[in-house]
Amino acid sequence: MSLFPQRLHRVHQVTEYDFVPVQNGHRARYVIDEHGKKWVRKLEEDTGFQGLLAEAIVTLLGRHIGAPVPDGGIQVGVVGSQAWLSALVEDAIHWSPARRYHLLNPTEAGAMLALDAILLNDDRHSGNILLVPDPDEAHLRLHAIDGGNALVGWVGDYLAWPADEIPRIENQARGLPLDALREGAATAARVASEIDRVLLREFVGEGCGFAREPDVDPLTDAIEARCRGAVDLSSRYLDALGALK
Amino acid sequence: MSAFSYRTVQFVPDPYSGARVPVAALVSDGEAVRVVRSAQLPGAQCLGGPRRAALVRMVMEALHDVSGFDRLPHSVGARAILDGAREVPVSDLDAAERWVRDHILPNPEKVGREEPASTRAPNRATLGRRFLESCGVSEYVHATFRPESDFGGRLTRLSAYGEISHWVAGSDSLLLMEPIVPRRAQFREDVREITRVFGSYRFALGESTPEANLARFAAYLLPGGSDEQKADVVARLPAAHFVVDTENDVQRRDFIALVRDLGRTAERQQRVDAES
Repeated sequence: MSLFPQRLHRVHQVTEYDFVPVQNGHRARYVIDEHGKKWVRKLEEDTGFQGLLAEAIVTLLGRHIGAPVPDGGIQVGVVGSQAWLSALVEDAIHWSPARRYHLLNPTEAGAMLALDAILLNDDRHSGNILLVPDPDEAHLRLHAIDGGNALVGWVGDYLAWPADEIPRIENQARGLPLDALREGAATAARVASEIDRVLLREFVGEGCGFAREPDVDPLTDAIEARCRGAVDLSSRYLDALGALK
Repeated sequence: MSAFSYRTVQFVPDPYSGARVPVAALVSDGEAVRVVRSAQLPGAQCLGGPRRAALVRMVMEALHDVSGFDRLPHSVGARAILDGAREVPVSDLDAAERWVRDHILPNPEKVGREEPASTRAPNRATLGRRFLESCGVSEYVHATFRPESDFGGRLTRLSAYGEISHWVAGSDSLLLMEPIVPRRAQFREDVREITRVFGSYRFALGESTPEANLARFAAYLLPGGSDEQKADVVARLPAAHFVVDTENDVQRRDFIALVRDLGRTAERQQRVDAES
């Protein structure tokens, strides 16, 4: 039994469908749970426990600071392996720079970048940014998916990363309308900087419990340090992204 | 064995139902690759709603970036997949393209148009408006310049030459703007039409009349254009005072600053007029 509140969904039974037909290094599969909710599932045997931990913390902290991350869940009772569930973002297509002026939610998109800066997600390539017509191609809602490669999942490496250093940027999506995202990033960074440590520890604790990671307090300390400095961190991160070609 | 082969591009409306809809095909002679687009796309009701109809259009637009026979552009994501390669029993690539269009892809001439399109893509003016909104200057921009009624009717004599998509009024000047969408199928027709309207306006305004300096003309290229398209637009639009490549940071910022400054001068003038 977990000591931490359960904010992530717990799912016991799913029906499996095809694998997601994109190159992402993890064999993600479409599933539907017993309540009819649609998910994209990643098995621990494909992601490693580090990937599960990263996904959990990205989801919990992301939703707290207003990033457009989908609902998250855990498939429990999978024989030999746990699984991460990410709520399906329906009717979505990948990011393209040609769509940069059609975003309906630049504030949330900015929060996505603040989140990436805090949790050291250097995997925000165009395949990990989804766009959903609302209702058409001139009006697109951005969603941030696939936090499984954020360095926060690799606790030792995350702890070793200097608290004021931004993530690597080489792999990041090009063509984001950074001018329009800056205010949202700053707002989300302020929310992160004011996060209650008890709440943050609950997020970290739930993720660590799922991933069987024992270092809850050291990881909480490290994330908290980056949260406290998030305003400056995210600003510098956006500056660096702006210099990308 | 034929040297020509094709792969059908199947749109995936819903990954859970298993549904697939052919929307295009790639045709290759082993080196060159061409995209053959279906003449008929499924309607919104067939796909499951207007959002999915929009997704089909976005996939079709993304096919501009096809660079090989073995994969679709990355931006398509999981919305479309490629079927396996099959031979085309012809002798040249043009014939292969025709064969696939006639025999593989949905052909409205053969089956009849039973379902009218229930959703339409956003028009050029809407896409331009979205760009201006995202840059935070749409409050200064008016839709559809009508010479007989807008700007106090001072340019009524231009009404015979048509309307312009967007305009910004300054205190005593006007910026008339047309967006250009490079990935639209009607790109060339759009540029011709804008050339005609801008040219007509400038001719009618003359060079040394009082009205000549009232209006400036700007065409702004939305993202997605090739270098050739951009050069083509610049060459064809000498009637425009500005041709703005919105993918160029400096040009975009200068253009947005111009719109904002002009709009603010009008606001200031209105306040002065109201106070006096």
